[in-house]
Amino acid sequence: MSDASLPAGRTVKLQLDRDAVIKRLFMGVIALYLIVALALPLYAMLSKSFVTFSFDLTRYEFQVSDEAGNFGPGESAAAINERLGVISSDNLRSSSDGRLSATQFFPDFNFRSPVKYRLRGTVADAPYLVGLDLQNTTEWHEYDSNTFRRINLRPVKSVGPQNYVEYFSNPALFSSIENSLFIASVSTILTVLFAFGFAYSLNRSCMRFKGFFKMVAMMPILVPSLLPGIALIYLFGNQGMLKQLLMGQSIYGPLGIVIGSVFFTFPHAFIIISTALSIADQRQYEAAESLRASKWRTFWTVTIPGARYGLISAAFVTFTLVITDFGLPKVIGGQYNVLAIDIYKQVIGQQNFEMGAVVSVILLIPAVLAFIVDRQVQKKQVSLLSARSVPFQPKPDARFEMICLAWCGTMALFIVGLIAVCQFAALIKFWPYDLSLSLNNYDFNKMDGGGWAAYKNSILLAGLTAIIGTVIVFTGAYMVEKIDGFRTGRGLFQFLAMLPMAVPGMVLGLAYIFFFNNPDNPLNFIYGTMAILVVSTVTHFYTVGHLTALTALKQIDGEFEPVASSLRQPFYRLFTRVTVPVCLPAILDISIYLFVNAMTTVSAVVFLYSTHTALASVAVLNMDDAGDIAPAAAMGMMIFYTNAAARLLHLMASRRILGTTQAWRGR
Amino acid sequence: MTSLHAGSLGAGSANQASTGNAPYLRIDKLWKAFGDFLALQDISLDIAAGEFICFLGPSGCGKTTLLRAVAGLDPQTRGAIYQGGRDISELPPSKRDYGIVFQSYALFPNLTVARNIAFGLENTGRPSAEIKSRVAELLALVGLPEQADKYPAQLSGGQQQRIALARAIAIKPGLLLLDEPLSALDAKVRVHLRHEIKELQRKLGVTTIMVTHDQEEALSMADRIVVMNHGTVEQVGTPTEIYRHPASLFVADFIGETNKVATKYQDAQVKLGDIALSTEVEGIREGTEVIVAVRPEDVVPHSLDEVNNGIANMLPVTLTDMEFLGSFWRCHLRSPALGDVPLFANFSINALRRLDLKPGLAMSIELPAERVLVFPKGTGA
Repeated sequence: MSDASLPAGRTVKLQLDRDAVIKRLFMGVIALYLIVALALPLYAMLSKSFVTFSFDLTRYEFQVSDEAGNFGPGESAAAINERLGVISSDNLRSSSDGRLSATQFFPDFNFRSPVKYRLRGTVADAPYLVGLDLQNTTEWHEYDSNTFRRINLRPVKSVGPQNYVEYFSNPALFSSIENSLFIASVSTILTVLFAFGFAYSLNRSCMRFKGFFKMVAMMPILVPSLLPGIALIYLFGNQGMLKQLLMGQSIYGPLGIVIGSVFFTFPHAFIIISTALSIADQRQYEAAESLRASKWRTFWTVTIPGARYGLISAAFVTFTLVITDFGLPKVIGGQYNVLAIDIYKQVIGQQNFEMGAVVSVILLIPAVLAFIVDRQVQKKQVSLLSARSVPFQPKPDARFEMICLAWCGTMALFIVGLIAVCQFAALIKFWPYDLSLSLNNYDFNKMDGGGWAAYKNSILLAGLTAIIGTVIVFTGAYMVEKIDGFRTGRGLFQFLAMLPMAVPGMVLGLAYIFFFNNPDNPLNFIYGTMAILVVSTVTHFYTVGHLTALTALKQIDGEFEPVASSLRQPFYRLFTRVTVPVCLPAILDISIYLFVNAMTTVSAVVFLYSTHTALASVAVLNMDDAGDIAPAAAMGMMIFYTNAAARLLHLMASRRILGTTQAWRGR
Repeated sequence: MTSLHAGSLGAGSANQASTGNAPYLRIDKLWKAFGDFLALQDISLDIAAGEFICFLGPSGCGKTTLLRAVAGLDPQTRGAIYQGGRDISELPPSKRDYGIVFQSYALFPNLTVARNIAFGLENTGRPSAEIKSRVAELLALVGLPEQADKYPAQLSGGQQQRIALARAIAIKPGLLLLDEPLSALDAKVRVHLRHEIKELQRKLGVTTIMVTHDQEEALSMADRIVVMNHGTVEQVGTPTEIYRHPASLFVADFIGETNKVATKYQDAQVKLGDIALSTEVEGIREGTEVIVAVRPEDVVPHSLDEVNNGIANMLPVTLTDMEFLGSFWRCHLRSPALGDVPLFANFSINALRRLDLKPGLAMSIELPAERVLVFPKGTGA
């Protein structure tokens, strides 16, 4: 029977019913969104990093007449420049709008002189401007002196790795890589260590106040990453309260960046490690005990191997967060340059977009690497779970609990302390001279940075991102998970959905400039509007929402769709009546995640906001930049209040929904 | 494919009825390939209206693949399917006419029992009063009239499966597909529900296909059983045909138990050592290597002195071991004619008493010629 083979003929394909067409259409639309909002901008950026503009003098040839109008022999611009040395090779580098005046090649040029000039291109592509008229010809053209002074040569575009060569030969820029790697490595080690101790205490001891500590651990997520920087300035800055503790060290630089990074990456590492520790199997510990292994040995042979994937994953996530963060080094980095700052400086400071693109591509490398490793590790982590595991039950141990309490208490003090310092800074009239309390710092309309309008914009952005983002993310995940067939399409979609995790916000923001600010782009009209901020934020935070939705959808019985179609019900009826209600907790999680991140994000939007779409998080940055540190702290606290309130609302809404629409659960 | 012919050869009344008028469901030369792997190979099958058919086979035999092809969930690679004379080969599930019940029940967890059953009725322009009465009728039909407002999680597994069944038949489908519907239930509920489903199917007269790996389930419920193995049909027939006249060694082995001995076929007889057994098998060439199969319950016990009483196919044996299995005794028999291979026989408690059987006893057994199954060597699993 095994020798049978498939008879020749056409493979049977089912006709597409309306459902299948609509599903494919939906997935197509969302895939198109991801292509336009992610793939194309990144492509634009990548190609931009390989483009250089320069004046190629060999392409032009001049002839000049005597006063009687008799022309001498032709000479190329390159030859003239070599003879006279009027333009250095540095000045031949240019940008896309560069112009080089033709009169420079004739030191005795006078626009009143009767001398006439002729100009032609020696090759087909030799553009020059006469006034505003673009000429590009190999024919001789004759100009009088008065016209000749309005002639400008235009640079030609070339594609190649010159930008990269230049980047790596610039020691100042190159040292940023070293700095970034150093900061990220140190922060990663510290954060993972602290978070592990914290998570271990919460999962493996009978310590008290676990709920409180869990809440505190999540607090840093609610504020922009640059807020701890402001707190550190108040504590250890030039006029800091505890400056003497540093014993002459400066907080501005690697020290400040590392401390702040530990603060803002702590919750991310904590969640991952805590999940890894929570799936321990009691039986392994019982086995270790019965073999009379010491606690220390059990820790290294059972606990650590069991949590190793969580630790690796936490390390990579932390590393990526730190190396791609821009707010903190901006606020407290001083003269210490890192990659993310370089992008900002190249783009905002020097308007050198091509070089910004180069730095972005370099910043992509560690982020993408970390992303790949993390995905591999995550896959393995899942297989560790076994349905037959017995959950670990910690035993009371007073001495151990004291150590845990001390560890968690210290971390909690650190986190709450930094936020409290910010709150204090926001309420003090004029540190350190007038310590009376006032709300003056909240009078944002008197400061640069966008005022209260910026705060309102942020709320609008966060709200729109949460609503639109959740709809897009959840629908997209549903189509990927529940469409039949269409393998390649789904694979491609899945890839696009995972990509944003690997793209740092700065890189995405810069890519958006290249893509959407191009006048030839039909979507150019959204540049400088709220729409582009929403699009960039949804895209930037797409992956985590997508994964949350996928996890929820995978828990739903895969046979709902076949049942519904056998009952001749359209899929959207199943979607609205069953899928969405069942997934509501996950949907709420996605929306609060998007809201909180939209409130705090700086990196992508800093390149994209315009005067009437200034944002609270960017205002913190700009007020700090302008020296208004106290109002910056006040604005940072506004973001904190808002996020805390949103979280609270989310909690209440979740409870309510669990109580009403999820009545079927847990009975 | 030879086995398919063997199957239809021995097919009984139900098959003949279906060949008389047009079949309700016709599966015509179906193939299914997953890459290089052929999950279905040239499957053809006719199912009459109102029939209860079981696809039976070990896991990986292709029975679920065949069901999913009929449902349009995983379309076949080659071949055609006709339902009620209509070619449904390329129709998507929503355009076919069937109700389906899965092993997981697939009840919508956030909808009450009543809303689950009404799911296929709503959105069709029926007035809500009509839907309500239909739901009540269905709940009564599956014996759960009091459970309308409960959520699925509040019901037992057996109750959930009945609700899933009610939901599937609510839209009065022409075909009912059951994918291992009882596998997730415990043994007692399973036996009970087996009977109920069969009863319901008879009452509604709906053509039904059930996939199962449980031979008892298939034997007790099906009008006809389709035994499958390695993506092919080994035999199609009524439960008694399948059991009494297995078309292949695989079927004999898979359904019920058999004693197997390898030997040669000569002069319409098979030799066991120096004893020749006559058989009623036909169509086997002289001198072929064969496997002789006898079911334990077909072994007839006799006392030793009956060995020369003129009864054919008698075999002297020694009773070496006995296990009590409740309604009968499983006896281990050894005979020089069988070499080292033990022979298993199921003897009734009566026979045990009558012959005073105990381990170590020398006795004789009869293997009735019509119960001696002979298969060419190298067929089946």
